[in-house]
Amino acid sequence: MESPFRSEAAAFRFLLITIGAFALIVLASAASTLLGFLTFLVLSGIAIAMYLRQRGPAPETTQVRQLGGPEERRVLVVANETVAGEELLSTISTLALSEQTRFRVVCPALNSRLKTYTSDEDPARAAAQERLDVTLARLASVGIEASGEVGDGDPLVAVDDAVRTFGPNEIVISTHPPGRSNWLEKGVVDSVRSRYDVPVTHVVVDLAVEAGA
Amino acid sequence: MTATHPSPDVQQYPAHFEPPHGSTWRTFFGPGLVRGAWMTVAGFLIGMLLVLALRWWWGWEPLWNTEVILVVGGMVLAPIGFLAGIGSFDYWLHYISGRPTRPEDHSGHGAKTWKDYFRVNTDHKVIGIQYLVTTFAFFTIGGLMAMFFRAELAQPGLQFVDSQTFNGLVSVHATLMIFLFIIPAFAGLANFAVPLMLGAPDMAFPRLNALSFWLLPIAGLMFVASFLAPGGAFGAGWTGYAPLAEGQPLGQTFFNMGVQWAGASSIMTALNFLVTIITMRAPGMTFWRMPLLVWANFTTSLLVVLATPFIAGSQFFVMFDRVMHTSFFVPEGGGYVLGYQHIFWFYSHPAVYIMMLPGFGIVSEVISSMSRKPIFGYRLMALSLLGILVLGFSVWAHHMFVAGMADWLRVPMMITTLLIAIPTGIKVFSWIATLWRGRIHLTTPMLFALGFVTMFVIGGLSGIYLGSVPIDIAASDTYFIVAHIHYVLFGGSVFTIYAGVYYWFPKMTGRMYSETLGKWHFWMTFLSFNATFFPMHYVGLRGMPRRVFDYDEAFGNMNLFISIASFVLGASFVLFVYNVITSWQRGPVAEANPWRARTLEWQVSSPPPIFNFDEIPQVVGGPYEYGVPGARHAILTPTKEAQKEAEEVHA
Amino acid sequence: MTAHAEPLHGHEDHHGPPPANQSSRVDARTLGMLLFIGSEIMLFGSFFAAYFFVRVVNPGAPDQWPPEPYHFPVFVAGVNTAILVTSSFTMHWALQCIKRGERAGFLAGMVLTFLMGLAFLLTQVVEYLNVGFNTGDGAFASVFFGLTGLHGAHVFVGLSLLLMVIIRGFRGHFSPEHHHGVELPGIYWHFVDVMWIVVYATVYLL
Repeated sequence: MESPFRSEAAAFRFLLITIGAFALIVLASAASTLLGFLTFLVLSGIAIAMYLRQRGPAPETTQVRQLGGPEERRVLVVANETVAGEELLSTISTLALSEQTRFRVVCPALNSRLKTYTSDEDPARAAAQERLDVTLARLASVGIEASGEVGDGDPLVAVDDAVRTFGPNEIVISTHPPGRSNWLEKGVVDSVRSRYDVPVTHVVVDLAVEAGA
Repeated sequence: MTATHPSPDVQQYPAHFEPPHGSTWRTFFGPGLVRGAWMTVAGFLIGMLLVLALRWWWGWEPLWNTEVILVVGGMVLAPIGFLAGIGSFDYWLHYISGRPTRPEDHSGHGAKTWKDYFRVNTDHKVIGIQYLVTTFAFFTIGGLMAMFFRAELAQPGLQFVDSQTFNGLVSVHATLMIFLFIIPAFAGLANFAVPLMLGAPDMAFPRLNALSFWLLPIAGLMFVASFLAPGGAFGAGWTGYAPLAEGQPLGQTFFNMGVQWAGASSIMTALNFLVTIITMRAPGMTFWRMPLLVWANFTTSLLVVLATPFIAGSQFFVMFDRVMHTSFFVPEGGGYVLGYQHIFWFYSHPAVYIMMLPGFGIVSEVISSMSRKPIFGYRLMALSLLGILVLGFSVWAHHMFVAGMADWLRVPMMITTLLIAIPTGIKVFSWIATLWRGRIHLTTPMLFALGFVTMFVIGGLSGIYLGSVPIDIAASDTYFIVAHIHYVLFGGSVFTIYAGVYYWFPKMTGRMYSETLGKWHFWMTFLSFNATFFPMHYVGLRGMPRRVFDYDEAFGNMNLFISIASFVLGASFVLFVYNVITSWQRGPVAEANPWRARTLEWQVSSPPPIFNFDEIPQVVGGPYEYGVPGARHAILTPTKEAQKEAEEVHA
Repeated sequence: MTAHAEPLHGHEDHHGPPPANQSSRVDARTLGMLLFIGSEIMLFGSFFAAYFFVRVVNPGAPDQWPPEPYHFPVFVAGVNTAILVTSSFTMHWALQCIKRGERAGFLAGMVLTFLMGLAFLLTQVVEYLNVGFNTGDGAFASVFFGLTGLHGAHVFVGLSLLLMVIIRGFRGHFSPEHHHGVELPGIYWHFVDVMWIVVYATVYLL
């Protein structure tokens, strides 16, 4: 049931539903006041539940303003816990083989839900900064010069900020395997894919497996 | 539609549209105060004739009914005539007629001379200043009334006025302060600051914004004009309870209608804020990156839109009972008298949050920038605003503990009332934590913000006492309530309004106020305010009732002290007015960002360019990242920055 | 430390404002209409609260509603309900037509909607004159006239909006691509109708 304010057609449908619902309420009240009141409560509850469960329209795709020149390729790397992961490193190295590739690494300052809502972000930021430093060092050790920043705690927002300032031609996102992702990582790859018109590569890194290997 | 896009529905006139008439014609028939004046008279006459015609046709006796004619002619059609005359409906009337709409020539936007402030102006910055000047004018009137009745109260017995006039002074004082000062002054400050903070070129509906402002002087005039009505000003308090209000002389109707106009102004402004905040934020400004002033106005606007219609309803019912002999609150006809209080307070309790939440936002801005620290617990500060919004609707009956309502309602209302202390406490502790180890600059706005925190805590504490039913039973309708009200409304709201005016004064006027005068103003206000209102806690608990013109001899000395202190408080306001006027005229020119603050309004010139920004900024971080290396709130000129980036590549 | 208070580009007044960013998928005008309708729902809420107090809470409320010897004209109001509901159908039809580019159908639908709305209002006036009681006859009359009168005022506003649409429609200002100016009054009109269903059920039937 679409919100009756979104369009005239939705408002019209809402009118028809209201007629039906109130016909029911009046009939129930004719039997007894209590029954009428209960009918009203139940119908209202159903309406609210249906309204809350519907999904809104999908967000539009943004055209990314690509800031590199015609010969340069800009790659934005979004790395959560997994910056030192081998898969990610090999993906980046492959991209670096073509000349004139500039890399920017963003480490979202991922945080637990409680700490996000209590604005306790300093430890998360420090941890993200450490991850970033390690990554940049790893990349430098294989000859890739990259710039980097600690991003917002929400990976989507961090990507948005980096897209604005860096203007990439492509995005590489690395995440944990689905079972162990942070509460904000869920669905981030799909969201980024649908939101931006540049190619998005998804790398899944399982640090536990790597540590054992 | 925004000021930017002409409607695609319509064909356009050519770009340079010359008005077809000379300047004399335009003075009398073009939009402006002259046309406003005669159309006001015309409106009244049309209303009067309409009433007379209908009463003659229906054969109602007597033909001439002053109250009905005054309501229809004087309080509905005359104001509409005024609004039409000054031109607030011109664009819409043109649109309705189906003629091609004029392209936006922006002639109604921005102010180059002082005259532009007396027109219908669509620039939110101009409207903000119009609001502030108008509201402070009514603050002056309401304050003078207060000093007048404080003079009366300095000694027991009646010295200067009669009882009806005294009641009128007290009622009009409160009405003006609430509806014509606190609520719209916050609207004015927000009008100026919020679009700039959002990175928007103006509000979502600039013409509606202009109309909202012009409704306000109409309401104020109605309240003040009630003194001229036969029988005197309305004397039933700003709360206007039935059945007293229904038996009052003609002046009471001025209250009923004035509230409607003020309420309409408030609702339209709130609607505008909500649409602006939801749909016009700069790219990258998520809800969690909005400055807290924006959050505060968002929450306040929700409160206004949802709650204000209830006071409109309550006043409609009283007016209908008075003028059309209905029985909403007349027991003999089957009416339910207590219903007035329920309906009235269902708005008027959220109203006190409407009068405080924007102040919370201002204080967050001031404390953060003057301590050079991010706001502590930003998310919970935002969520606590929403918490106050929700809880605020559940406590109205704490104003009715002694009204004779159903007993079972009292304890639940007590519990919800005490619960509101939680989100409010979160805010107070967060402000303190923001100050903690900050580099504090005790400028005038900061002094008022700090003064607010302490005074509001005192007012909040007396509120906690009053939330408890047994204490309220003893303290209700005594001066303890008056003390509580003024600690939260003066020590609370007014202090934050002062803080906001001083804080944004350089941005609004391009001039810096005198810091010395500002500090004198603060200390004189702070000390005389406490001297005036703190003793009221004591006399109230000793048994002095409120809204009385005479009292027991035992309270005489305390009342004399309070009255003298109130005169000093009145005098302190003169310092403020002097500071504002002289600084505006010849204060030192202010830079763009004298406070080194980080929100967007400080990143443009003082005063801002006519359309705020050349390019909409792009937000890439939070607004309070003081001391965080490399943090930016926004990219001010994205296109230039992008060009620079591209050039760097080739370099 | 910038020196003085000059606007960034003082000579560029005639450029106009930069287009604002659209930070929400919801259209601004539709959101405005939603909030306006929201506040009007709250206004009706206060009138329903008065009704509730007078009929349910009031310890002296009569058992018979309306009290003897008065009656509410349920049938006439029922016919009126049918008229108003039909007008919503014609409104919806009018909008469907303009979306398909059928101008004749659109204008016919709008005019029919307006006429039926007008008929509703006139029937209500006649009903008021013949109902057998007036405002001074007690609380039940007060809430009757209050709720139906408030609703009638909203119908009047709705008719004004419809008139605007009709005038502009006849001047050819709407098309399949641009009909937002019809959509918003359409939403308002449907809400006037929804409100009438609630008022009718509460005042006349329950």
